[in-house]
Amino acid sequence: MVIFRNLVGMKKLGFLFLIVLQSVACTKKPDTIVDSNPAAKINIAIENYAGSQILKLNDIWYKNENGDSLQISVFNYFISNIKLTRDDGFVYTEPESYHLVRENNASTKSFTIVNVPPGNYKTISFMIGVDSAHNVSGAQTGDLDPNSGMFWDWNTGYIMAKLEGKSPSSSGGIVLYHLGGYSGTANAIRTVSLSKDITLPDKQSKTIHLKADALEWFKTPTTIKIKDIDVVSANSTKIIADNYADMFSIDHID
Amino acid sequence: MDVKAELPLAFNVPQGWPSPNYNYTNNQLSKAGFELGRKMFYDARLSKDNTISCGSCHQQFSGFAQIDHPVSHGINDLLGNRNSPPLFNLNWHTSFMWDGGINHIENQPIAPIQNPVEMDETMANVVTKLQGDATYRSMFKAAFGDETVNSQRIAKAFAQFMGMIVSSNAKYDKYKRGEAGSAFTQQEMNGYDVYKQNCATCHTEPLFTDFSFRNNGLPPTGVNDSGRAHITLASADLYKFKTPSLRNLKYTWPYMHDGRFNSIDQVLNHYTTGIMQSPTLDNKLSGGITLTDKQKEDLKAFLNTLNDEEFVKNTMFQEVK
Repeated sequence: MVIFRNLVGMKKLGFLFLIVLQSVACTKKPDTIVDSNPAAKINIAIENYAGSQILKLNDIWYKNENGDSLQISVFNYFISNIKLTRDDGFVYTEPESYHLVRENNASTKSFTIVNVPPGNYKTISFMIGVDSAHNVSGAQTGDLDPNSGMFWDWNTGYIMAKLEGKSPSSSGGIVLYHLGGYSGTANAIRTVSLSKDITLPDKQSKTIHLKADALEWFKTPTTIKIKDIDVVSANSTKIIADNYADMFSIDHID
Repeated sequence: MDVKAELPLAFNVPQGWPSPNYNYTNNQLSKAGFELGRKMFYDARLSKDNTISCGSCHQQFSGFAQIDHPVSHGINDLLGNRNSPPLFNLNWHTSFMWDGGINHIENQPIAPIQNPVEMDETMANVVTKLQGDATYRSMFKAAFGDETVNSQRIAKAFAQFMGMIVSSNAKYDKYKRGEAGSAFTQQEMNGYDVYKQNCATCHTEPLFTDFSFRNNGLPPTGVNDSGRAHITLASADLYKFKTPSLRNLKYTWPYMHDGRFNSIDQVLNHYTTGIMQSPTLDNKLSGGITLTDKQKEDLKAFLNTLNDEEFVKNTMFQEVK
């Protein structure tokens, strides 16, 4: 693909000839051959944490900000609409950007964004949850398949994020935080924007290692007492979603 | 690809009707897709114990409602809380279910399939069951180009069948189109006037519903079904339900969200003498509706012109044995 960088200004005939060559050589034709060269890749690798420790489902008793003990058995969330912003202002938007991350399935915790133009990136942003358009436009597939257990069939919409577990502070012993809703007050979608300099050379790949801290669900801006909120209702959706809005950080780039 | 699949299947908007809310923009209609949706609709394997199909509680002779059942009987004879709604002219609906909780026709079938008192099956199991059946695999290939079975394709095939169920050939429709032999009698004409003066605000022509949610003054029962508020959690929506169409009432009794009324007489008596005042009562009903006995008879004669015999007997919608 580097060859196209030198094409501007070449004779038209040779230009077309090379396009033909390129079409034969590659299975995927570039959409634009003049100024974008989407040959680089960004890997996203997510590690879920509980505070300073890597999250382990079921086995470990954690303490939340309020001092309540809890074990976590399910930790799932959608990441969608990933955007990468370059220092020259160019914004790369991942097409069909819907990723369901499930702690109990390692393969969901890393994925690759292909065809990213090279350059110096400074910001990655994404939604926690699924944008409203994909909650109102009928049957979806892939990571948005309603079979995932992250979909309400009786009140259409995705469960944007889900944390389940147990706690002696809960009157029923359980913690059931299912955050859904795409509009109004019960809107569980939050947008995350993280800054870090990422130099992405042509034809190469970089990995952004993200940390997601499950215990952030229980603090900042609101410290959650599990005895008060053991099951999330529409009324408590905003509180918890505001809390998890800052659960992500960039650990490192490599 | 199967030749049949390439045959276009047209969705026709009846003369004088508004544009539908759902028009297959992202779901290419085909004979194969429609037939697949129809087969699934009548297939009891979509329920957990393979005993209940969509067609169990949505019967064509009953306007795809269930006659004589205030609430439907699901798996293991479990009862729900609401009357099985009739299925026709669904592409014009802006939401589904009595509480409007479902926002898109393609998302509708998954709810009864997964409801524990209806079909109690998971969509994942439905996918597995259908994928394991060679007939279905070939039908999915004919409809969608390959044998892959997934929940999205199931939903789209269902929307092809269910959306094609249109009722637009009642006497009223023929009268509006000026067809021969469809002139209204004097009593039907009188009833049409009674309807226009007393019912048309909510049961708007030509679909005979405005798809809004309203509290029509029914006293809550022991179930205390909160209706639309179950979805919105807004106290302003307490006891509101979606306005049902007045089409095909002959076939779809009993009436109301919980099937509490067996006859149109009971329904009319509710509106004249049975309205219960409450904070969310529709303001157009605060004084009830005043109808003389003659007006009631005239109105019933008009409502009879909304019954579409061709629709309930249309072989296109019948199970293929």
